Amino acid sequence: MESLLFRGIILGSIYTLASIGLSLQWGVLRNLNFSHGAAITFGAYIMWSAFNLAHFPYPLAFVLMIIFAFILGIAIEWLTVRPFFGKNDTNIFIGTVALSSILGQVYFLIFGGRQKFLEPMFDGVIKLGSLRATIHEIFTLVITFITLIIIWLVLNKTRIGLSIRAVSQDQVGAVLNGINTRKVYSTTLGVATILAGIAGVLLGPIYYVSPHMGEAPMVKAFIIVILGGLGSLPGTILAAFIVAFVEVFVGISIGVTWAPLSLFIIMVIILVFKPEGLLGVSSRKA
Amino acid sequence: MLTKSSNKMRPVYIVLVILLLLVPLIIRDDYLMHLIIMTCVWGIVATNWNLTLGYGGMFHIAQLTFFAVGGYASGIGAVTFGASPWLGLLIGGAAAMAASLVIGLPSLRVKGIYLILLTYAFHNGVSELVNHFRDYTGGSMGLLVPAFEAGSVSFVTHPSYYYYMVLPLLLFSIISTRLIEKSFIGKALMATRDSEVLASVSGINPYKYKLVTFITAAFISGIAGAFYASYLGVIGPEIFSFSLIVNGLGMIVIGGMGTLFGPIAGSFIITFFMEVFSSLEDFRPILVGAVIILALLYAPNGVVNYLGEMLAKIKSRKLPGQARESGE
Repeated sequence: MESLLFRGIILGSIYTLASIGLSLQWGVLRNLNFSHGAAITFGAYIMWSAFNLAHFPYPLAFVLMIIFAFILGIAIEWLTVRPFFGKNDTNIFIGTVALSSILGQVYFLIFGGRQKFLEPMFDGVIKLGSLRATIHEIFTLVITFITLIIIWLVLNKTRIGLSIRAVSQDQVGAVLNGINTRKVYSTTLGVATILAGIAGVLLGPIYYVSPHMGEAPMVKAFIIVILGGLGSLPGTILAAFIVAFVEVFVGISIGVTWAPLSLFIIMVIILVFKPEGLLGVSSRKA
Repeated sequence: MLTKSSNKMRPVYIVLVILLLLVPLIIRDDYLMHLIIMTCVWGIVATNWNLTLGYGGMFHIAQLTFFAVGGYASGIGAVTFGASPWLGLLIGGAAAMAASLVIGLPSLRVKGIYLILLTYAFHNGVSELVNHFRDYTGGSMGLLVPAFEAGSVSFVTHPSYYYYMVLPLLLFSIISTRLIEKSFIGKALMATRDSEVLASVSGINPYKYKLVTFITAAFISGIAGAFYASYLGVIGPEIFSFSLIVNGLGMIVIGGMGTLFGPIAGSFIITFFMEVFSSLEDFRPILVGAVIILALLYAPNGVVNYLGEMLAKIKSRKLPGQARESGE
């Protein structure tokens, strides 16, 4: 029982990282980015290459991953969001879908279809009472916690963070107050991609790294941001843990193939009866 | 351009249909014939997708779900219940229609990103169902679907028979799109697409017309899916893959969203593009993705319209006085 709870918490924290970026993007762009899954994979592959090919130490590889992810996020914004923003929302969707397929294939060409094992920073297992946890799982909790605190600090204490929040609340008002919205868009995409990349790095040692590893977490991230309410960060965190617990408990008690089905049923019910989500603001401007 | 005046264009259409009917007599190469049949199949899917997406403004990805449901329904009908593939066409269409009711009733009440996500969720949900009931669907191995037969003649050795099956379906898709566009349903749909508030105020019930169009498009796609399964002889979970969504959207975008012939032009371009560059193998999805993004950037109204505009530009340069008229 404790081990199930613990697995739910671990999975929930990874899902939190994977979906908070989407929620931030929704706040700023009123749009979702379908290359988010490719961004998750990107993080895992950069980490793997820096670690296994370039033999960098783990912290350096991690920093490198963050820099590259930020650049990728800016590229995504420049290529598939900026040309269509405010003119044609569906083109943003199609553009990010196309970009995601391009990226998936690029990973395949560079790294091949075979699954790669991303080594965790710390090997080993510790026992806490009756609970057996790998150190990587503890590491996941710590990293998630630190990342969330940093995101909170950035959003509340820095100028760019305040700009992001201002743009989320009112685009026109932000422009009138002299905020460079272009810069806010690309920074948001960059930050979102970093968060996706961290999720990929943490997922790597649990699942294997493959060209399309990010797609399943992306689908779950979509379910999470809808469930939590688009644009609501507390809602997203709450929903990430709900989804993780549902997945773990349904998987154990009814059967593994029922877990994705039950998530999908939850998503349909939420979208039909409460599209604004659990903690979302009731705005149906979409 | 092509939709300017149907009376004037009627002889052109008749000649075009006759030419299309003659295609198997001209082309003797089986492989080329296969490509043309695949173009037709994807043309049907893209045309019906475009009916709901381009004319109806319902941005969804359920069309491929219907295609897959049609294929699987006819496959299960043939393998488990021994139904002939001919009956399978009907089973596929009916199953896709039923699926469109299940998906459409809740989904069409929301719009924008919610509609995309909801249909995406259904797409994945159906894929999970197929994975779950592997006794009937064959799981990841897929199903072997029998080929069409007439009397004792199997269609496998006669690609032209398949062509004569799929061509009417394609023409039917075009005609039904055209009829819906010209009817009150189409007017109501396009009014809703352009401004839902205004349409509602004018006494249009957007939900009703959206649902009717959605179901019509699903029915034809389901038949196409059943045909596809029986034509290829196999249906597997690859039909739910992300790359098919990309290709399908690409056909509509490259051809021109909301135009009658655009999606067919798009499916022709993408199907043959994949073949022309078949030596590049794994680079093809990258090229297709790049072409889609380039089309979005530089020809957002589609290649057909783009060429039309270019033509109009050249014309207007020669005859400045007529520039205003060729703007449509």
